[in-house]
Amino acid sequence: MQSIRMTMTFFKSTNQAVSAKAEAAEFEQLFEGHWERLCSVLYRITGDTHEAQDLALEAFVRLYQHSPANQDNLAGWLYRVATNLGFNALRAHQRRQFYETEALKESMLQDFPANPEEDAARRMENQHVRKILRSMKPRLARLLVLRHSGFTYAELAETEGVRKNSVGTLLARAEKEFERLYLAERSDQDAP
Amino acid sequence: MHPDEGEIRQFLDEEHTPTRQREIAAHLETCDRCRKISQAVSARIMLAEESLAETSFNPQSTGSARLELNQRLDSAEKENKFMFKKTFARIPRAAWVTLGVIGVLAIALSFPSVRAIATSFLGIFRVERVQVIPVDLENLPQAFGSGESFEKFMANEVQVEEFGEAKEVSTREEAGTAAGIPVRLPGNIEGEPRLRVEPGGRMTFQVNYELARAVLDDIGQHDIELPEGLDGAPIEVVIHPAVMAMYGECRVEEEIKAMEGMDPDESEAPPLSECTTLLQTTSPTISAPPGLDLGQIGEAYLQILGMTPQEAASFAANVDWTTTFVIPIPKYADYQQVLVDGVSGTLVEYRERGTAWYALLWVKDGLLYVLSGPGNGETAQGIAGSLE
Repeated sequence: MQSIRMTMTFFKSTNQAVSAKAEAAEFEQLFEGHWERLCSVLYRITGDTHEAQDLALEAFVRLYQHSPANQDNLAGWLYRVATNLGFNALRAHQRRQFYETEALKESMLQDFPANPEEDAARRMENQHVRKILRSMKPRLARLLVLRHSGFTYAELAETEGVRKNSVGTLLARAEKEFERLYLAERSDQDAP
Repeated sequence: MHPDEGEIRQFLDEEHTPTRQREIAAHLETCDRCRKISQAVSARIMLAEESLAETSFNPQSTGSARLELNQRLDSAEKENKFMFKKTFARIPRAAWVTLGVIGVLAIALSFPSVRAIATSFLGIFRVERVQVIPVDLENLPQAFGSGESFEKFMANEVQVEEFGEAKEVSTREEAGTAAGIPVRLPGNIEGEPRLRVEPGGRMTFQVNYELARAVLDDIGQHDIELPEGLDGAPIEVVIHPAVMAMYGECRVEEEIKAMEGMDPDESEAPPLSECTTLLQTTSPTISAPPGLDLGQIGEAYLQILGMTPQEAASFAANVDWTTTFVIPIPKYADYQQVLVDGVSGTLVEYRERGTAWYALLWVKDGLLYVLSGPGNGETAQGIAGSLE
């Protein structure tokens, strides 16, 4: 099968071969079918609408430029690449955390939300969840996010390249790890 | 039989077969312990669900996102054309850096000159056995050569210390003393060999996770996972002194030099001299933090060489990465496991410009041997069998 890059090149030309049309249609179908869901997954990771959309577009650009040799599971590849981009972005943010916290305080002072206390609590909680995801093993964090974005066991098995019956075990492990880090984060907060 | 947490997790999502769902439901009715586990698992699901709940977010429409994607693809294409020219001039140095530091990939880049393998691949693990995988290597040099991150990684993170200079010696005893190993030579080749002692060296680096990630991104491997704990991990590779015995019309140094400055525009490697070489050395060693998952690094390495994640996982599961040297060879070469010198070895055979060539690799008593030259498997076996 031709690569997606070839597919798109053919797609742009005026004399499209029938097979090229079919392959271009496959890329279009992937975009149509996964754009919103990919954004939603990335939003759960980054907590930032602009960044989520930016990274989702980047994932499609990479699919176009470097589509995998094995094209049997392009959607799985796309989600793996996208979630890696998301977690990389989270790690990059770690370095800027001090500035972010300062910015958060600043925005809380400026925004004058209807319910300032509730809003502040939500934003802090949001930050803690990102911190936990950043600390988790990438594969477990990815599974957790994908599952809670509505992925079925069959889809998770396909994305991760595991048997469907292993998904429950991996999810249980991921949620246990999430809980452990969550409680540790809470106890740090409660410490005087 | 109590269901484990994973089964309970699957049960709560009703993802078992109907029969298994009923069995677990019945079990939970009667087993306090499992019921408590089930409650704990449910609580964790709720916690994750609430924490990861999506607050109102409607991404831009698919149509407008598609337009934005088109713009990005167009500008990426223009940038690529510019980068192509820029990187083309850089390939020789980058390719050679690869050759020197990542011995494994070096073989891939330099395979047509098999004798160069002997001097360039001694960089990974304590080798106790050798395994080969046929891969499509056509795009590897370009992929690495075009990566700015790779050059940055090599320039900033890797320190190389050589233990001296290569020197020629006159006798096997002298070579043995200089290299610190007992030197064996073939008894069935006429004439005295040229003996050259390679000094060995030490390579140390601390892994910079983000830079390593950037290198993988540069070569289009965005979905390879690197192990936890890799960031900051100190790695030390020690390559011990080696003795190279050369028979026939040998121009090994010239060939290596030619490879160092090889112009990618001239795709053909210089012609090989009619030379048989035997390289022997103590197995190289690599030390890394005990917690580092070498298996996962191995999987990443196999994926770089073109395997799918599933193939890499399956292959990697059967390899002891602390003792096995996995060599990529081009698909056009034949290879097989053979009995050599009383142990199992690997014979690689290929043809270049109408001539048959071989490389035979084996490890015995902690020493690594690489025999290569013109001829076929029988020639190789005959020479290896006459070592004394």
